[in-house]
Amino acid sequence: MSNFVVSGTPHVRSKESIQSIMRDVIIALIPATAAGIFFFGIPALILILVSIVSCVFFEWLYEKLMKKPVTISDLSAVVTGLLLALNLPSGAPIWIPIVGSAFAIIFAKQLFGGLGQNFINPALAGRAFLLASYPTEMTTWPAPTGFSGVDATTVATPLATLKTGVMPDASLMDVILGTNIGGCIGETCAVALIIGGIYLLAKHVISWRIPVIYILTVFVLTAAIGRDGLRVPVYEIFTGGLMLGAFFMATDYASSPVTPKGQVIFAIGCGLITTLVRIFGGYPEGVSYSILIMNLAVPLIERFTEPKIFGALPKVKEAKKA
Amino acid sequence: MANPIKIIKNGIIDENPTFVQVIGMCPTLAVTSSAINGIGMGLSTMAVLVFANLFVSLLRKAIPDTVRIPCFIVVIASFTTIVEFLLKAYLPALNASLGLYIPLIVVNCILLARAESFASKNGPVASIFDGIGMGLGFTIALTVIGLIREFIGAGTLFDMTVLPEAFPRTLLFVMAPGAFFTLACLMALLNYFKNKKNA
Amino acid sequence: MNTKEIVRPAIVLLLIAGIAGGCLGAVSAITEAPIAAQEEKTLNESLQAVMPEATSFEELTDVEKTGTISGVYLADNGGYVITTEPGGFSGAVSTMVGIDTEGVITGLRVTSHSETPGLGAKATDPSFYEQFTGKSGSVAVTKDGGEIVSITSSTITSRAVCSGAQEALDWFAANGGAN
Repeated sequence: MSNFVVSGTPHVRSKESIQSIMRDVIIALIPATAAGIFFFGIPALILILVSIVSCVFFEWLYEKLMKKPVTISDLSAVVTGLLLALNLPSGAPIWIPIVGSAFAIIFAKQLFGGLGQNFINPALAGRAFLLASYPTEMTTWPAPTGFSGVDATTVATPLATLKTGVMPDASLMDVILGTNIGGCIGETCAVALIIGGIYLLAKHVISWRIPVIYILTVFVLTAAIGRDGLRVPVYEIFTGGLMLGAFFMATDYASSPVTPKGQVIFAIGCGLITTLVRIFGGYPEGVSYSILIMNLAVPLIERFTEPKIFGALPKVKEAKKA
Repeated sequence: MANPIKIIKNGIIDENPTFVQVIGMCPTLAVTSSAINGIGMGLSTMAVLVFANLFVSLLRKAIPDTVRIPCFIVVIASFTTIVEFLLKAYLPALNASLGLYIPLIVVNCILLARAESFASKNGPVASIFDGIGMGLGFTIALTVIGLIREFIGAGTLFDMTVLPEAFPRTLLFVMAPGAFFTLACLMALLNYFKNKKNA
Repeated sequence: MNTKEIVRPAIVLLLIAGIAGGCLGAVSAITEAPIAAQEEKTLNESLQAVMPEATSFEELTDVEKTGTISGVYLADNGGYVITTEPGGFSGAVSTMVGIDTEGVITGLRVTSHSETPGLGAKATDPSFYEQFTGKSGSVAVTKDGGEIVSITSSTITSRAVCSGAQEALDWFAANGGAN
């Protein structure tokens, strides 16, 4: 009888661990990271390294100070650092990723209990903090001159140009490949992000619902509403941080819904807010704020989409007692 | 009757309205973008609090229980309006930055809370000291929050630039979210020291 | 519940409210004059800031106010001070523009706004508003082909201030003009 061990759930274990999932996310981000470094050169590389190192450092530091088990080997801080860096303009000063990492790891993640307990995406929280605090540094976009060593002039992002009601100079091909356009280090090359996204889908790290429905919502809404005289939905979905946000940040496990129905609602909400910010809001881009806002709505979404327990009887409404 | 020093200490430390009782949050979060605003709001509230406490205490035997809340509010609202008139007439500079928030003193629950829980049960002298203590506690809290926020957010202390121009300003701290972050961090810090002392 | 329990609280409340009202009336009567004087002084000071050469101003109430123009003041030296409320990044940006008899801007101030601190809020910095002094005809930010250098990363606010100044200039040209 000793062959039979009685234990609590879960009974089926997969080989996946936090570490292996995070490793897959990092692998999926390699094309976009490489493209970012290729387009924006050494400054981008430095920002990425500083951001990763400081995220891991702050995670270690907090856990040491609070006498908690150190969890830096699960690679989640590396993912946060990498995502934060990919959300920065390449011209940002070196202290920007350090301050952003501290906020992302300590305030958005660890104070709420660490990995899995954070209710918002730490990298996005870090970015939102930086954008609100240092708007000049965070909205100065150097032109993508790569390694040519030319002092980069600053450019407007395609979305900022669209906002003024003018079609940007960059062609559709430019915004898909990331050539000749300004933007955050990791957001300009849409094709690299899509390759990474497909890798995550193939490895079943993320489900298709959030990214596909998110992007589709933005497409449909920009086609339906349009800007003043400009109706370019195909162009809209490839510009800005939409691909990066949809594949890598809206899908964060801890801060997105678990149920399929919930994921659909979450993705539509993200798409709706993104479009509204882009067209009517004060900022040219709304991806990060839309995901953060929907992160806050996740507990509510989960409550309404809770699946029925198998075999449970439907709740009988209490008889009316007049 | 407890001695005045004890009552004042109670207001500043043991029952600090901001950090311990966590009441009066609206002005605490809204006006503390600089230390000067914090002091101005704190002192204005203290002025109203002292007089409201005094009059509520004097009238405590005349006021029937059933209408005590409306009576307290009438007393508080009158003194708030008087402070507003006086600021407008004689301190226009302070009025320019606090003007919007002065009428809010009426709905600051510190005033009603003290009228209800202290002034209506204690003598006039003790009530005055309670007003001073609570007012000081509130003023100190608002000033400290204001100092931290303007130092990080604008690089100034009492409106004087102390950080070099090149040093980056974290603008979030002079905006509304900064008030929440600063308050939360200060409360965490105070609770940490309190727990350590009690342990 | 007998009548006494209802009447007594009502009378006490009435008395307290009555006395409080009386006190407020008294304080109001005392402070009325200083408050009016303060308000006039504040207004005069801000008017003089945009038109240093004038000493007294008179508000014109019977003029046609176009666009976002909220007030027109005639200075004793013949110039006008015009207040406008153009829309900025987050709400109206109140501007005050002084225009002399030649149609040249003598000064501009942003009197109230709710723009982002550190960005649009820099519209109250002398380095920004002093650019307007001496301009006439039309004003616009460099991005729109004008001469006003916008505040870093705050084109919307800069444009708002320019449009406020432009409205004032247009009003001046339509009502009296350079004579």
